[in-house]
Amino acid sequence: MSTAPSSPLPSRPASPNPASSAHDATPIASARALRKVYGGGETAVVALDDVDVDLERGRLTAIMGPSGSGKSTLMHCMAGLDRPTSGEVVVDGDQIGRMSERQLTRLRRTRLGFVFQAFNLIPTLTARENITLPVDLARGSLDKDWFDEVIDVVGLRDRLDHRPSELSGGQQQRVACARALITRPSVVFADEPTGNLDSVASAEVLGFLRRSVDRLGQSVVMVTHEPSTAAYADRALFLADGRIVGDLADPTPDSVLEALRTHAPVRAGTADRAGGSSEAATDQGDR
Amino acid sequence: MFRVTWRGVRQHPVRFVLSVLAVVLGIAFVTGTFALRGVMADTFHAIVDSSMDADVYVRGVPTTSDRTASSGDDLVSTSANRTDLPLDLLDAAEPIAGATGVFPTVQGSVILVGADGTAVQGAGGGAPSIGFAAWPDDPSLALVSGRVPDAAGEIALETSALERSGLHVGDATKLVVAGEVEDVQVVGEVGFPGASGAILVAVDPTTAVATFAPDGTVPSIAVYAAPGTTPAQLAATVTADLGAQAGSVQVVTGDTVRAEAKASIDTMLGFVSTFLLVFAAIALFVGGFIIANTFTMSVRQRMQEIAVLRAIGASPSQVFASVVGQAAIVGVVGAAVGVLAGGGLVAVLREILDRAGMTLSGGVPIAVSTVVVALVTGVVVSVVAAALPARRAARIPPVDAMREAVTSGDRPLRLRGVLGLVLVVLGVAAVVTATAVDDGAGSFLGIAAVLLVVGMLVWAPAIATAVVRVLAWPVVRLGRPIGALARGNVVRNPRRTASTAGALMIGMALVGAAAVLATSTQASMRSVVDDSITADYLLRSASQDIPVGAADAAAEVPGVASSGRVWWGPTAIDDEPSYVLAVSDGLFGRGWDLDAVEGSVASLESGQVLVQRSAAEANGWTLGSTLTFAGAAAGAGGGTQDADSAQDADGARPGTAPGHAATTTATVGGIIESPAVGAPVVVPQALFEQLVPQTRRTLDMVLIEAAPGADLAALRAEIVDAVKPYLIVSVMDADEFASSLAQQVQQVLVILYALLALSIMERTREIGLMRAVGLGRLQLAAVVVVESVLIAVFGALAGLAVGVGLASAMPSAFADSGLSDLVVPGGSLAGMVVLAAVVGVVAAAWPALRAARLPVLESVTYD
Repeated sequence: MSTAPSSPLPSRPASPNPASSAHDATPIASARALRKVYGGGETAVVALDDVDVDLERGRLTAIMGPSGSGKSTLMHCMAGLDRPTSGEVVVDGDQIGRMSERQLTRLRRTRLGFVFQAFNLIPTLTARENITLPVDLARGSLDKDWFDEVIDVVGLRDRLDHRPSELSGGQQQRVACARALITRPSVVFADEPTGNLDSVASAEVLGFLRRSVDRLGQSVVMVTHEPSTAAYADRALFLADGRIVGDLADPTPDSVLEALRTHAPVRAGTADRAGGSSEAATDQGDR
Repeated sequence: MFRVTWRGVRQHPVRFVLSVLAVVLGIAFVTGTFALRGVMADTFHAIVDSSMDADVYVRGVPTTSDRTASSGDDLVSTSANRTDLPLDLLDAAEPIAGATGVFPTVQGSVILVGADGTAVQGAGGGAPSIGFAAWPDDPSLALVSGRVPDAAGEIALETSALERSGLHVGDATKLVVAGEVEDVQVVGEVGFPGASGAILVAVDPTTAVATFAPDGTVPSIAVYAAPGTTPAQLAATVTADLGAQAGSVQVVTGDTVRAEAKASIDTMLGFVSTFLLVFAAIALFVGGFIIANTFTMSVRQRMQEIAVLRAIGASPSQVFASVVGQAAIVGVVGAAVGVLAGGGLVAVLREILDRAGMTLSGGVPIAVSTVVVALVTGVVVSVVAAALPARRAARIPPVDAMREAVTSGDRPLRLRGVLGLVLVVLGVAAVVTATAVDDGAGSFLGIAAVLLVVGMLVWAPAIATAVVRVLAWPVVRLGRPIGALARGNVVRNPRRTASTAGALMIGMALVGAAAVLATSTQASMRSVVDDSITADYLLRSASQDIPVGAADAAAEVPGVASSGRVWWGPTAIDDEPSYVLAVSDGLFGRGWDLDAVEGSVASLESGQVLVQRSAAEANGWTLGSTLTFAGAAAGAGGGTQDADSAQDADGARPGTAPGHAATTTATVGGIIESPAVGAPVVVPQALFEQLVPQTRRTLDMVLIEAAPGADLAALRAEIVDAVKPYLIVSVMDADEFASSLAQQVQQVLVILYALLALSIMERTREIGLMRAVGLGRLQLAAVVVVESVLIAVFGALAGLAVGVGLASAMPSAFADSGLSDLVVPGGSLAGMVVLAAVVGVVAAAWPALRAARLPVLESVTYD
């Protein structure tokens, strides 16, 4: 198990990251009075309850919380994948609540990147084709230099012509990460990126996400319930029952465990369980 | 994005095989139709070019002032509704400047007896046998061996007729000509390009004129130009030579005649193609259903992949285009294979026809336009069929990419149920209207058909649950827990059930309607025959026209009490081309009970005519109306049976130019309503003989009554014996006469059966793959099979309901056209439902096996 790489991280969002091009202090994504209710009437489930949050540029932010805490829902809403019941979401300076489907598509295409727990590569395409797919979808032209840089960062050069089924889980997830970065998005959202990986592969992928922040100046938001994963982040947010209950700068596995214990006393033991195995039905409780 | 589309097809070819096959079937039909039409047109045009090669034709004027009825079987003349010309019209004139030969068209049907003593059949059994005058200098006649016949009892055979008959030059044989059997000798072999399966018999001119032009008139006269004279110049010369007579004939160039002949051939082929294309359209419609089902399934399986695409930036329209693109690939591949298959089909057909002696010209002409039409049709059908699933795919929200188990959110079926019900009710209303109205019943039924089919498709998911619950009742009672599980699976997803059953439903609607219609038609025919024709036996001929000799021979058989003849022939009534029917005097009431609705049948004996009620209504005829018939140039005296009277043909009416249409009037003495009378007007025998020249009379039927107490079986044998020399005459009793219709319809429906089987296979695969685990293997297989059967039976029943409902309305809507009885063939319909169940079992076999064998984990992760 690797330790969190050292990174000078003052708690002030305005603090410049050496490799980052983001000098401005505006958050890369923020939510105000965000509310999401599934269902209606007596069976209504409040997944997000008045959440206010700002996510900084050029930082790796982890969203933590037990099953059903609303962390996936928070990410879906902030990434424009799901529409909130009420409240406002601003991504990279744009209100996404009132965006049309077309505008949302363009937003995802040009300014957002996604990494999924289940990798979700297109099985019929090679690694290279999967990576360049977002560019193809946007009918853009591929920036060859950037492509090379991304490939080097993920370290996949010799596997580019393989199909996903010929790659290991870690390799697949690295391909997925490269795919998320290829359009130079403003922010990458990662949903349990290590949920399906063993510890070695997890370390690879997390190391890569970390490097993309440090070296490429990328902003990354990731949802996880593993303290060791959260320890790679610059900041960890804790959700419970649809509310933000904690905010930890420079998390370490220990501080995260400690925070989980503090912030979710009624759910004592959840952290242990959640930290133990990859848990499949993250959103089951959310809905 | 195109890569995703293309790879999706390439990596899962099996998924699309049935879709491609569905397109192939439909397109092969389309291409085959066009190609066949091309081959036929080429062949017949070639025949026209080679058989009508004169430079100028002189022919009669149309007997009607406007349109002319098309005549199908007349290869050499296109003069069905024209007046005839005197045979010697041009001989009377001085030799024509610039002409090398003048040849009246003297021809008629014959029956040639071959070496084996049986009638020589034209190619395919349908090509005609034609006897014609062998004018000594006729340039279209090329002597191959022997000599040209020049005395009575001599014939020459066209090369292929000679081969076909097994005869050789010098052999003696028999020829049935003008209804009599004659002993003849084959004295020569002649070449006649473009005979194409017809049996051509050259007869010496004297005999030919006596037999085929007994009244001294012919339909046309061919004139050949000398070198250096153009057809137009020759036509001008001929017209000038004819002088005053030119007004009552037409002088046209060969090109004009050939163009007209080709045009009428094209029109005829057009009808055939239209008929075939209707079936092609139905095949494509059902095929489209299969494609829609395939893509619905494919989209459901790819849901997560599509959500990922959406999440990483694909727009809904890109997703839509991707799915539709796959459909387009299926369409292109299917159409390409279909074009080849269609070409192959025609090639095979050609080979078969060739074996049968009908040589079609050229290769299989698959025109560029055909390929384009096929490709466009294939792609359009596929794309349209995949449009709905594609739309569904485009609407998959990107957030589904994050979810583990993707479920399609089914909206409630209430709206669909109401809409479907409304459509079905409207359809039923249209059916009821169709039975009630007098005019336009056909279009009401058409609207009803569309409403009912679409309505049922829309409504099916809403009623699937209830219907399947009822259907499944016995299974649930007998086979626990399998029956209940299977029912649960079918009922739980009514949309899937309905779309699986959809194609079967459409097909069954067609089959059911066709079955009811065929049975009802048959029954109607039978009741007409049973009710009206009381004769013991009927003579009919495969060539339509019964040789008079056969009729005579049959009448002379001991034990035959009486025989009566039924003729029909073309004429014009009140300046409209029409047909008239005549029977031997006294036949009505003896072997054929015909009752008049108004007036009396007996009025025929006083020279009045009978008209069909439908014709009377259409033309405003009532009892006592006067009908004006345009007869051919004929003596006023009536009976022109013998050749002697031919001489007075053009002199009968002073002041009337030769060939000018004479007119005769007659009074309506009775109105009848009988589908068995296949003509609008029945005229007395004498009037018929006056109106219709002998060469144009068709002896359609001979009714024979046995003497009281005769042994019917023995009598039949004797009659068969008597007509044997005229081999193509058949002897039937009333029952045999009444049955023969449903066969062809059934054959075309085979294609539909294949498509239906395909559609069920396609969908049951899905059933097998989506199965959850937790059952024993055999049980699992049984569940899949029972599901499949339930769905198939549901589709079959729904389809039959539509089809039978529609067809049931037809007898009341079309009673006028002779469809009087409604018979629902319960037995065969039940058979179809059973067949559907069997198809269900067969279709389920493979998925069931697969589902049973699949390891648990694999079945969960199966793509």
